[in-house]
Amino acid sequence: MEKEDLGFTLVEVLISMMLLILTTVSLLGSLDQAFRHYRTAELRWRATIEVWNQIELLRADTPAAGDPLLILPDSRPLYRSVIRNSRLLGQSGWEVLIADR
Amino acid sequence: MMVASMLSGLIFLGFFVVIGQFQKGCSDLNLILERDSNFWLAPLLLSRWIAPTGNNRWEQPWPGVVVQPGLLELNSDIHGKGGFPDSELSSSFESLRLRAFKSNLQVKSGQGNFQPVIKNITSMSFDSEQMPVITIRLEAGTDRSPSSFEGNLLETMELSIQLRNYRPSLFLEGT
Repeated sequence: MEKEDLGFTLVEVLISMMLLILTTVSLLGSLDQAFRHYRTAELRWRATIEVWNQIELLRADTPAAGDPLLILPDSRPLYRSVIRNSRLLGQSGWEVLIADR
Repeated sequence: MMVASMLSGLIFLGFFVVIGQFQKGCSDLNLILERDSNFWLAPLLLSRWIAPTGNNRWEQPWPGVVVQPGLLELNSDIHGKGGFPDSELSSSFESLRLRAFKSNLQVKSGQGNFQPVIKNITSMSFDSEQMPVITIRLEAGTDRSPSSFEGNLLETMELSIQLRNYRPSLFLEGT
């Protein structure tokens, strides 16, 4: 009568190794994806702050810059500018209206 | 059998090494997200607080905007009868103080005390060279050092806020 072998066979170990490699790759891949998403969000946030700062400086400039826009007769003209940032993809730009001072 | 046992050992060792690295990476990402969830709110809150209190105060005969190292004081007499100034800073939103203290951005409103509002803000400075645009520099850090790499996780941001002096109407005076 043959003695029963209770250990793992080489095939079983190789299958386990393959499953472990797959699990490892997917885990590290998802972590990498999470960091990438974070990086994208951070870049967009930074670009938004930059655009905000540009707009505030533009609004503080004297005289007001941009295309003149008369919305009512006899009113003080408004000046229109569009600020764009290449890092804010999918956005047509921020329209800024500045009143003359 | 021997090869299988050795490979099994290697599998277990590899499993724990990978799980350890994954856990460290997750922990660091959590640190960064915790820092930024507070830090990214700062521009929104600061622009909402500073601009209304600081408007109509620049180049006026009364003191309204005081910039000191690490402290910004804004006093705006905007809540009098009929919407006109009454020379009394009675409402809490007419007086605002901002500073960074003990890794918190603190705000004092009216006669109250400084209260922590945004955590993980390690330093805050103000620049009034380009007035009426006030530039705020913020630095944010994490509660502890990252575990998977050397160095710190300091993040800086520069935010400009214009303190406007509004005209009463869009129409020209005297017309």
